[in-house]
Amino acid sequence: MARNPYSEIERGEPGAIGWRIHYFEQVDSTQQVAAELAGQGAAQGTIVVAELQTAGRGRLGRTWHSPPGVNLYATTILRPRMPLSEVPRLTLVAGIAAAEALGTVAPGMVALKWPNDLWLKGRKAGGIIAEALTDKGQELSCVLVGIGLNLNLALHEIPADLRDKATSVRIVTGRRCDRIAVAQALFERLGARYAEVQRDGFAALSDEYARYFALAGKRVTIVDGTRHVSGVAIGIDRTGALLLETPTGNTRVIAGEVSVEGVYQ
Amino acid sequence: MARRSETPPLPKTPAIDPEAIRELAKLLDETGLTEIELQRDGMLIRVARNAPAPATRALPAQTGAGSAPIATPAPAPIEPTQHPGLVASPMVGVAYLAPAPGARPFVEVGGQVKVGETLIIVEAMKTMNQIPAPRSGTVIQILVEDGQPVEYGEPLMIIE
Repeated sequence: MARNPYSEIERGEPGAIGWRIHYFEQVDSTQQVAAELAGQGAAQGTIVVAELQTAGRGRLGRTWHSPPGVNLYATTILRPRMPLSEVPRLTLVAGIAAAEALGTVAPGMVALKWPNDLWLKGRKAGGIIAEALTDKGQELSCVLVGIGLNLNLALHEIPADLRDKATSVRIVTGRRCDRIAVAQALFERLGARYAEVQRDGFAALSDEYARYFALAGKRVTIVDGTRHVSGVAIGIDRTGALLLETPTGNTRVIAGEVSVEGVYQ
Repeated sequence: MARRSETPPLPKTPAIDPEAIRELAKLLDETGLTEIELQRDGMLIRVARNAPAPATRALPAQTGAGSAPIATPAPAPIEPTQHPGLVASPMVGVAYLAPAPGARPFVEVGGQVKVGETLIIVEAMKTMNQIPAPRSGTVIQILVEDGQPVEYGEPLMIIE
């Protein structure tokens, strides 16, 4: 097994975010490995990091295989005590943590496209996906939060047709960053924000989210399943839903792919 | 808002009208009808009752014994909410019948499922909730379409 460069940033007792970091050179997806570990009873805060995902999960949109050793792909196992209906807010909380971590190496350039795409200078540099696993009685057993950040990816490593849509820390700052240090910041911020949301609720974090909110005042279209909604993005509400001003009044959106007028996706 | 005037409204903006839906839902309650369709300004709103909670009710509204009795004018072959094999949505979101667009659905009507097998995904804010089969059996009804927005407690599927 490959040497684990992330073992040096493991912190805390079982249950703390990042207490144990499993490292792989190549996996199908970090989500899948984390699901297996969670099924075997892995404690909260267990993290799976891989250099290369051959079947990285992401429901929609195109994915490509970036070269190993340049980006950060991590799935964190959470075992929150909250109703399933509140779990989706955790991906916004993870978005805040990821924005804060990216801010340590690309200060002032980070924004969040609702719900949790990471943008650097208007192009996508990261994404977050979560899976809520329930038992057969629909009781929440764990949440797998997958975070992918483009760190040292070079422009020529991005397929030509995606170069106006995707970016990385290296591309926007002109230098490589220390991936282990970014991972450490990410897991530390995730731990802190996760503790906050469980203690104070999401409403207490909505101002933090607003600091990074990239869509304010922008005209957007959301494909929410089979439904299309267009309007001007106002912000998010206390539950994390996106608020839109539409010609027929304000509406809230809780799912869907957002496209922004005049901005590459 | 000033911004709106900068962007002339498109003639066919496919925006939803929450007020109209609320009105229709109220009407549905008052009349005991199971479905109302309204076509206006090039858009079609359909409000249907197939769950104890109207599809437009606000988020935390719980279904269950406390809700008002529902008139069922036409006896359906299966009343989903009464069926012991009902699988209801545990959260608000969008239902997906397949793991990826264009992929084979998790289950099909008539298919056998084992307890714990994924039946459907409900997504909200990039959180995928895989709904496991509460029991082994045969899928006898799938009550939602791929990509359909669903409410809390909305019937998704029946396993017998």
